[in-house]
Amino acid sequence: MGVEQALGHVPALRRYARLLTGDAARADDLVQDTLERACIKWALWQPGSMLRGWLLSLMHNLHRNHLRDWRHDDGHAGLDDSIEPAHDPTAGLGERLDLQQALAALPAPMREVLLLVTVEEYTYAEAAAILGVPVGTVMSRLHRARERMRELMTDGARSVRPVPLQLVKR
Amino acid sequence: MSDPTDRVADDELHAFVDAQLDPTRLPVVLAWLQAHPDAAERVLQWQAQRVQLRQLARAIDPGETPAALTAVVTRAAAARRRRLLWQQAAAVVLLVATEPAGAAPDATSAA
Repeated sequence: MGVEQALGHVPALRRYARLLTGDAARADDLVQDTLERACIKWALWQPGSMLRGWLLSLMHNLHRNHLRDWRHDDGHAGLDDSIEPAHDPTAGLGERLDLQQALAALPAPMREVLLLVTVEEYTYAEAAAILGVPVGTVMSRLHRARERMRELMTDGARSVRPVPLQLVKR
Repeated sequence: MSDPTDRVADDELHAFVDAQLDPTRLPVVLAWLQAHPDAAERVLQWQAQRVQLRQLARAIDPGETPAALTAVVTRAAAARRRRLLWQQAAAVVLLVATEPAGAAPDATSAA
């Protein structure tokens, strides 16, 4: 069976990419890159394994590369879980973020886990496989994602991270 | 905000929210939530986030798939088929080229 199978997943990939990037045009760019990568690496896909998960895995890698490119010069060490600051100076600024803004303000690794688990309904183990991290990392990212969302949506805060907030820009 | 003593339990609270909790643990978690209103409040908010995120996802209408996206795949698939055809053609040519050796006994037995 050929790579045409991937076509059946395109609508879901586009929806997912929209949540991941917060922007329709960038989402479609990401989906296009993902499909190109899938075509190139098609021989590596194990028939019988979950195709959607494999595609999402490719998408996450590409997404991270995109982010790395964007942040190239601004001193961000990258997306390593261990350096996610738990000490963002977000406190006390009084403005409540809505759901979309809060999602966009999450560091990408947290957003990925949150989306895979809640929207795509993957098990923790599946999410870990898709992201190529241990289950324990999934759990800690999930926890921090949810707690951060809670903070952002209740205590309120400006978005302080240079996560591209394309929702607003376009 | 988060209680440092419930580190381990947090994983199970998330599993509860995501319907991934081991069913045998359900009574324990429920009892624990009843005894810890602050945790129960947190879990309620996590559940609300989950519901809202799913609503947000459902509300996204990506519209028709742009032809450019479909083309990426169909082009690659067509190229792949062409490669396969060439390989088959090459195999046939090879077969034909070596046929005398293989086909001769068959021809004799048929005659």
